[in-house]
Amino acid sequence: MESILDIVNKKADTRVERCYQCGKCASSCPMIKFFDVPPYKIIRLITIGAKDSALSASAIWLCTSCYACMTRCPNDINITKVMDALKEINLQEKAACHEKDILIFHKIFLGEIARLGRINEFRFVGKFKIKALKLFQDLALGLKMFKKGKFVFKAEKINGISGLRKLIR
Amino acid sequence: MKILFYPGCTLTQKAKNFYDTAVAGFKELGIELEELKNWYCCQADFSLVTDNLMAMLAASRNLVSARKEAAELAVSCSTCYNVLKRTNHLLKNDDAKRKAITDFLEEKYDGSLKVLHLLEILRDNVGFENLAKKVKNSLAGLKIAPYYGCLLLRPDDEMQFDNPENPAIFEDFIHALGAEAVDYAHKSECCGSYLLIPSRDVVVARADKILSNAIDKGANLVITSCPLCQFNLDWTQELIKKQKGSFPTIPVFYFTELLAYALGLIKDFDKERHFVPPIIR
Amino acid sequence: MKKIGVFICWCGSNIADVVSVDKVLAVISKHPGVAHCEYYKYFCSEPGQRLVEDAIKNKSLDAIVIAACSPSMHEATFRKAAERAGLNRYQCEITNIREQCSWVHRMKKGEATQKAIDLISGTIEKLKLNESLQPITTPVTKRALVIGGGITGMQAALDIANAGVEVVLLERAPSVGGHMSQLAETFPTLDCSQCILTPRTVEIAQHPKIKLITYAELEELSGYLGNYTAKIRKKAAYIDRVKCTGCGLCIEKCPKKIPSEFDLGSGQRKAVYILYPQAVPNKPVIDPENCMYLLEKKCGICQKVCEVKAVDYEQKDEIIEEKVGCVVVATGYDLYPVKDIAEYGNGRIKDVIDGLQFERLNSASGPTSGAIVRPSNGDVPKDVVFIQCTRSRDPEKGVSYCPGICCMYTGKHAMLYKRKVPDGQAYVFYMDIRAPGKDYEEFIQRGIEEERTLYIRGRVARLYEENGKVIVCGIDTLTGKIIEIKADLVVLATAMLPRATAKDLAKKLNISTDEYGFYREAHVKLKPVQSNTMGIFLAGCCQGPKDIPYSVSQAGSAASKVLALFGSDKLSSEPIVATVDESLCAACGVCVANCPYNAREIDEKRKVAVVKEMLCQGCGACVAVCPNKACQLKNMTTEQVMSIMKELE
Repeated sequence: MESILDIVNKKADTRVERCYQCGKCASSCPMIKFFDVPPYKIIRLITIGAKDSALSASAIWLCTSCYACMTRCPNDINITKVMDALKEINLQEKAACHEKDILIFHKIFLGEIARLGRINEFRFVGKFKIKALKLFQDLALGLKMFKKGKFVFKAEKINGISGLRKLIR
Repeated sequence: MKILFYPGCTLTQKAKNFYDTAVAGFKELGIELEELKNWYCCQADFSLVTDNLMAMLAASRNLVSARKEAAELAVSCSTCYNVLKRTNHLLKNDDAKRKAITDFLEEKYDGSLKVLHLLEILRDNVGFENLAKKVKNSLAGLKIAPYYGCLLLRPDDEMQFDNPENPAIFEDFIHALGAEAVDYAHKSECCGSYLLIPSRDVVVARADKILSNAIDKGANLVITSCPLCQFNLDWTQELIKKQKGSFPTIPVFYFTELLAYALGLIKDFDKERHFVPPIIR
Repeated sequence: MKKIGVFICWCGSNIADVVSVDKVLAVISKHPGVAHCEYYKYFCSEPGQRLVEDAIKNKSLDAIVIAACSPSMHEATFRKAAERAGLNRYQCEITNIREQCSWVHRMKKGEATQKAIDLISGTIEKLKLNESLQPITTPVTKRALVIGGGITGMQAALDIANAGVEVVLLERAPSVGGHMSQLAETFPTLDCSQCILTPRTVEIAQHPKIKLITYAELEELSGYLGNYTAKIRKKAAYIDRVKCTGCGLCIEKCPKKIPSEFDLGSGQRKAVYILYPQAVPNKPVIDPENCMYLLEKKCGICQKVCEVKAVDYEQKDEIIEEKVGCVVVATGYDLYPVKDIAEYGNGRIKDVIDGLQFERLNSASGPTSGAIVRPSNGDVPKDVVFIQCTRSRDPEKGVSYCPGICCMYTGKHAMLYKRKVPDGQAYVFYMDIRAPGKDYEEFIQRGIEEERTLYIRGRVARLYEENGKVIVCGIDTLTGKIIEIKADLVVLATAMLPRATAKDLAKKLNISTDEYGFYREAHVKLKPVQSNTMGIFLAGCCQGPKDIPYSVSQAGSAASKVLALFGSDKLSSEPIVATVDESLCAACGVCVANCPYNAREIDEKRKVAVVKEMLCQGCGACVAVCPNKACQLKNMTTEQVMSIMKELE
């Protein structure tokens, strides 16, 4: 059984055990105020094998991969990739995701691309709101944008859509 | 001169003003932006997990397609630029992954396409001094805060766009248009990106921090190169106002909007596509 | 035909339990050329050695083989015994049948015995071709060159000179003192740095055995151990420093002001200057890059006012030669430049300074006379942030190593700041506290308890200016809290680096540098002050980052090596050196390039390669690479090697 440390190291092409907990990643992170577990702690949890604690951090889902942490890390640990790897492991294991909305967001995005090749915002946002049971949220905004012609109902389908669909599986 | 152009999904819809002003502005400077035929959505996120190549196929197909027609591909949206450039970097440098992807696509590609951002073209092909000469409506007197966001600059070893800690290309652009560039601390920090939809509070807080800083430093307006950043910084100002009781709103523009204005091509901005009224004087 | 004696040692049971000494005796006795063969339990003992000596005398032996333990144990012992019995010591060879035979083949007694026989046979055959050699001696110049006039160089010079040996002390700055003269107070005693340094500088200047040459650099070093010639370039000072009385009038009248390098840009000096008030020698130099007369033939005031006519605008660099027997390198360190740290402002934020700049602020003879003030506006800073581990312990952007002094001097800085600004607050961002020396840990604790220095564990991501303050974005990882401080002054404990010019000097001295650029010692644990080149010693921070006590200790250690070298009038070395068959040599130079000890050179006149026997270590690299087989090792010729191989077939 591969340890979570080895799995993450492989997926993120890095060596998280190098971390000496300096915290530069956390003080560089623009989202840090919203993180339940700071990035260096997530790295530490992985290093000591606390898989569940690491995977259940909601911080994983709030990371926007802005790379501020990695630009500053003195040990060249690919923290951004680690967060992405944890997102993926969560999806693969269908683990309890504390940020359901974000998970739904990612799944619908891919789904829309599979259908049309491009994102039509109306369809996309609409689908999200339905799936996330937030139908009436931002309805006012939706109407405003519709009035302003920002929504195009007719979804453009690109040529070669079958080829693209093959890619997304 | 002609250069192949990749607009990306949003530029053809919500950010049509970005598209139109880019094309018009560059045409005035002697560069025709020719849209790549049958381009796909780039997927808006460069997948970081090393064993997942599927996520790179869409961007790869665009690069292959572009390379068949030209040696360079111009991009204006920061997100698309980030994805395409990084995918290209991976295809160029990782032999095993390039083979896996090109075999799957049943295409040949050597990673030799150059992915360029419009600002790079302005700097290298046009030259900021030449741009300054062509300015008809000088922006003198304006204090402009450039918002780089995160995707243009990082990760630095792949993006190689500008100095990630102390970038200057936007400032040079602003000076060329005759205005003063505002230096503020949060100019290259992430705005919250797609968290707008599932975790809106994060974006509201980030927009507040970034904009308050720019306003504090005397900025009249903000320019950016990413439709999502533009939306995040523009639309949330109402919410910030509600939360804090008051907020000195500030218009957020695409840099090409100001380019077109300064070159005398447009007199007003697309009010439909701005939440905070796009008034600069 | 040489009469060879073979002595097989039992080594107690070490050899005899595995190798059948009876069988070996029987076979070797019959080996052609063996005139005497015996075994004994402990040949290295006194009776054992006497047996060997007696056999040599009684049987008129020409050469002997001792089959026993490793030569590194007793080769010297048996060679001395052979000499006592009247043989040349190089007619005594050791066969190792313990470490290389009985100890490693305990389970294979039969094969071990045969191996012992083969090994001894090989040695016998080789010995038949041995020449009687004499150790190589050279006279030695009993003078030392010390490069670097900081605390380390000065200490080494004093330790050598006090033993009666002449020292040439070379310093490239206009005066001695090095970085220590820039410090205000030193940890952990908080002695005033200048106060403990000045007695040294004065002693150096007045010592009859020390020749102090300042404002000069090493141009070239030629020669070899015991016989070096150093070419030294004395830079033009445009002042006759012998005539000069050090009255200082020229400095007073000079109109040109420049940022002072000694004060690291925070203070000013004139175009004609001395480094600091207590400088030794106290004679100024003129800076040719800023003197208006030297640049544009304007001004000339200093020459007009000098009462002893010491100002000489026509002065040129002067090359002098000094003959020395060895060199001690004590060239010190540089600091990681603040202007290269992108996330801390790239040197553009005035109130972000490094440790040495803080020392200058704190120093009574510094630009602010010891007042700690903000460089931006001269105000007294109330919140001072100290950041440790800046570009050190940083494999990605800086250096991987820990310089080992920053925790201590930062603790000192925080303490000294609080003493001058009692209502201020010092914050220290750290990762770990490294305080291993005597009284070091206690010193840090004092800072925490008495001066209320607040230690925050975490690195600082970024510094930027806002509303006249420096915003420090950090974190306390122990609590997980993000810490943002609006600081008046930020002091960075930047990494200690080798000197920027270290590599150039290394080339001139033919010593090697490590992966960071510090000079490489011969053995990091057991030979820290020796370089790989004989006669060149290292001391202080040029060998690796360290504090003052350690530097001073190394200075003494290097001095002792120098004195040991000069202990006798002649230097002798082993004669197992390379030789050149000049009839075969094509002077291709491959041997020169491959010699790790710089012991080969081409004689341009005779167009042959020559061996500098004093430097040759007998490694055999040149023998292996010579394309014409012109190179051989004495008493280990190709023929001899082949004769050993034949016995091992």
